[in-house]
Order: sequence, then structure tokens, then C-alpha cells
Amino acid sequence: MALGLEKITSGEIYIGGQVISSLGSKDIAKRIQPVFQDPYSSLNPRKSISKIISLPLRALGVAGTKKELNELIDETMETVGLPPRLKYNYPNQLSGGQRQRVAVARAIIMRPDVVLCDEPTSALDVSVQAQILNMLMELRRELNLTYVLISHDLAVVEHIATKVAVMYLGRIVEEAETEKIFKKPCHPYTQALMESVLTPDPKLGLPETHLGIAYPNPIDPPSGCTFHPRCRYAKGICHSDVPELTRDGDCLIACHYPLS
Amino acid sequence: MTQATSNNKFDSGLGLDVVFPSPRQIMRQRMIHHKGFIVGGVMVLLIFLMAIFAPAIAPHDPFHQDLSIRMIPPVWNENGTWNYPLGTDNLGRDYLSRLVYGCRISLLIGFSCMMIAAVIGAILGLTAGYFGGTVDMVVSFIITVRLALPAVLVAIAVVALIGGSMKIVILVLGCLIWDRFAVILRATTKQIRAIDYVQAAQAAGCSVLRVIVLEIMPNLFNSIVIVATLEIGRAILLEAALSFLGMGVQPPTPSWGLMISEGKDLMLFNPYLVTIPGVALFILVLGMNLFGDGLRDVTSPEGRS
Repeated sequence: MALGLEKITSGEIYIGGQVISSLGSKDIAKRIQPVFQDPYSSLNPRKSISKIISLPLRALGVAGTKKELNELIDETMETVGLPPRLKYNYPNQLSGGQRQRVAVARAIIMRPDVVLCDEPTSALDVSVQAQILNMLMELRRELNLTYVLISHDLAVVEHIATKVAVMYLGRIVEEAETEKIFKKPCHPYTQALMESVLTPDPKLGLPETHLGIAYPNPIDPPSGCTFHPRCRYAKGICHSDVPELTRDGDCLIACHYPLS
Repeated sequence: MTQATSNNKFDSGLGLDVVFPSPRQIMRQRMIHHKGFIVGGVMVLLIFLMAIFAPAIAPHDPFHQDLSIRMIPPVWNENGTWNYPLGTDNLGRDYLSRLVYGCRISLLIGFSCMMIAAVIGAILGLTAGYFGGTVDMVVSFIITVRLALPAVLVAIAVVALIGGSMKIVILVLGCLIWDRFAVILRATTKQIRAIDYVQAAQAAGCSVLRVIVLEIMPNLFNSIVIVATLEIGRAILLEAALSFLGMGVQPPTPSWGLMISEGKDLMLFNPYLVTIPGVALFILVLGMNLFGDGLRDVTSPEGRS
């Protein structure tokens, strides 16, 4: 939606004080770039790496001369830790980690303000995940980027994010600083989510989350608070009224009976 | 793969200057080991050479009639002579020369029909697959309508109305055989459209036309080429059928379909008049289909069942 690929049904998205729907697709492209989840499907198999990386430049018509373009491609490839000799290779010759680096290079070559990372590491091996994450952190410092990180991997979120919004069934249920949300979750769902993290020690068994197993149908969500059928603190009002996202101390929370 | 610089910091001393085989090299390897592709390719190539060098190959003028030498049987018959290797027809024209010149007509018709069909089919299929929704419904309806019309019947009707000539046959057939292009490209475009790199291109600010032409089209190239080879075979057969019915290319132009048609009256006593162009037609269409099938296997082996 933020990329302008989907139509906004309600509400607005602001970037740098401007409403996104008032910008053309090219202006959006200059400010926001995506990194997709699966590096195996996000690179066109028929294009060489240099073509893929320089796509945003050529699409926006700011490519400049061939020499400048080449230099910029080399520079960007080195920034993301790719040897420039891979320039003329094709995606099928690269490993998953390298492909994801290419995807990141494509996203940052325009020097955007915001990079939208949709589960940037979930398709990668654990060892490669760490490399990619560290590279993302370094790039954030060097290029002064903002990331919008979508992830289910709590360790990744804790490592990278400064501010976290927890979503349940398409709604934000809690939003706070990373440290706060991991140390003292207020929403029952956030609490269950934190407890659900598996421990490396097999003797401890599976974590107890008190959620039950019935996952509701997202197309036809439950009435009132969408979380109430699985919530162990649910009371009468939770069945009928949708809780609003309200400020409670230093966090935003959508719950009738927040934990304190 | 021409890059041989190893002086930058990534390559130094690591022995990383290994050259990967490029997709093209891999494809070449597969081509050499695919029998159908080689056999079909050679057949098509030979017929192509025959068409190009027709004046050099044909021993006589294909239009020259001489009733004193009519109905000479081919060399393998006891009355055959090497002067007329494939004999002569009932007007005394050299059959080999007519066969050689006829393949020009067949190839011309096959290729131009395929071109027209490819353009129509690609435009319809790509728009339907890319935009989906209402556009897709409209295009699907057009495809269904087209499939409901038997090609030969419509072609006969049109040619009977406006009269047969090569131009009209090409136009009519080209406008009738685009259905396979449209159906296949619609399905493949739909598939590719859902893949992330198309979204990445859109997010990079590419226009719709650019996404379709530069991002999606290269990935459709295999399908287009494969359907094209099959459609050439189909167009050639249809032209032969039309000419056989007297609705296609008009005499005295040498066309393989027309040669079969002219020979059919004398088939009982001189079967070679029908079998020779028939075999030629068979070889061309078989070669085209083998070649197309092989091309499919060579370019996208993962799609093989």
C-alpha cells in the first residue's frame, strides 16, 4: 500500500509530511523502496545483476551516462558486500544471501528515505540471516535510512527495531518502544506472543501460551475485540465492543483491560 | 562472462575467478544432446535452404509446359529418367522444380500467418493476463468466440466471398489462428504477474508498458517461440487444405497443397503426383513440430512432464 501497489480503502499514509496518495508513482518510488521476502522470486531470472540493480534508475529516467551508471552500480554493489565481478551474472548463479544483497542494492541505489523490508531474512539460512541483518543495520547508519520491517521473528525485531507495532488479525493491538514491549508487554496477545518464543533447551518443552488452538477466520473476524475468543482475561465488554487504540503511558494499546 | 579483472579486493588470492556457464552456454549444451531438436532442426533447415536456393536447385522452369513430355514417372520407376528426377505432371512441368518452388510459398505463408497471429495473440493474451478482471473477461470471451468458429470453414467462406489469392489467404489464416498464442500467453502472463519481481519493478516506478515489455515479455519468450513453430506447421497445413479445395493459392503458382489437389484426379494410375508433395508437407510439418517441442525442452526443462 505504501508502495502505491494497492489502493488505500481508508485512512492516509504520510511520508515527510506529505500524503502518499497525492504523490505520483515515480515520486513514491524515489522515497520508498521495497525488499521482498523471497530473494528467489524477487529477481527477474532473465536479467543480469547490473540490470536488476539499476532498474529503479532507468525506470525513473535518471540513469545518466553509461559510465556514471556503471560506477554507481559498482559502488552500490560494494556497499551491500557484493563483488562487482558478479555484475554480468544472472540470479540463478547466486546464493540466497547474495540474491538478497542484490535485492537490497536495488532498493538503496535511489537513496530512498524509507526501505520497506518484508520479512527480509525469513527465506534465508540462519547464518546468512545474521549477515543480512548486520548489513541492514550498517546501511541504516551510513545512508540514514528508515526501515519498515515486517517480521514474525521476534529476535530479528528485537535486534533491529526501535519501535514495534504488534498486529493481530490485521489490526495493531499494541505499539511501543522495542525495549518496553519486550520487557513489559501490556496487551494479552503481545504477552502470549512473547511467551511463545521457543527456547534452545529441549528439556523446557513447549511454552504455555493459554491461547487454545482455534485460530479465527480472518475474512470473518470475531465480534468486539478480535482477540477475545483466545484471551484468558476476556470479560463481557470484549465480546461486544471493539477497543480503540489509545495511549496508555508510553505505549499505544487496543485493549479494554490492559495488563499493567 | 568477459570480465577477467581480478585486481579488486574481493578476488585477490581467493581463486574466485571461476567462470560460471552462462544461461546461453547451458542451453547450447542441452541443444546438442536433444535428438528431436537436432532432427527437427535439420529438417527445417534443409527445407529453408531449398527455398532460398530454389533457382539453383530446380533443374527446370516450374512454369514451363511441354505436353510431349507429360506424365513421366520418377526415376525409381522403370520408365523414369534422371532428366526429370521426380517425373512430370499432366501438363509436362518438371515435378521437382515445382516442389522446390512450392516450398517457398509454403514457408512464406507459414511465417507470415504466424507473424500476424503472434501479434494479435500476444496483444490480447498480455493485456488479459496483466490487467485481469473485466479486461480478462472480455478477452476470454473473444477467445471463446474464436474457438467456436472452425478455422477451415471460416477461411473457405471468406475466400469464396472475396476470391482467393495469396494475400487474402495469409490475412485470413493469420486472423484465424491466434487463439493458441492468446490462451497460452494469457495463462503465463497471469502466472508471472504474481511473482515478486514484477511488483519490484512497479515499486521502482516503471510504467505499465515498461513492466509488460521489459520485465514480463523476456520471460514469455520461450512460450512465444514454441507456439510460433507449432503455428507455422498449422498454417502450412491449412493453406494446403485450402489450396486442395481450390480456395487458396491459385494455379499455376506451385504450392504443395495445390499440387496434391491437381494430382488427385490421376492418383489411381500415377500415385507419385500425390505422394511426393504429401511427403514433403509431412516432413516440413513434422520437422517444425519436432523443432518446437525440442525448443521447449531445451529452454525450460522444468516444464517437462
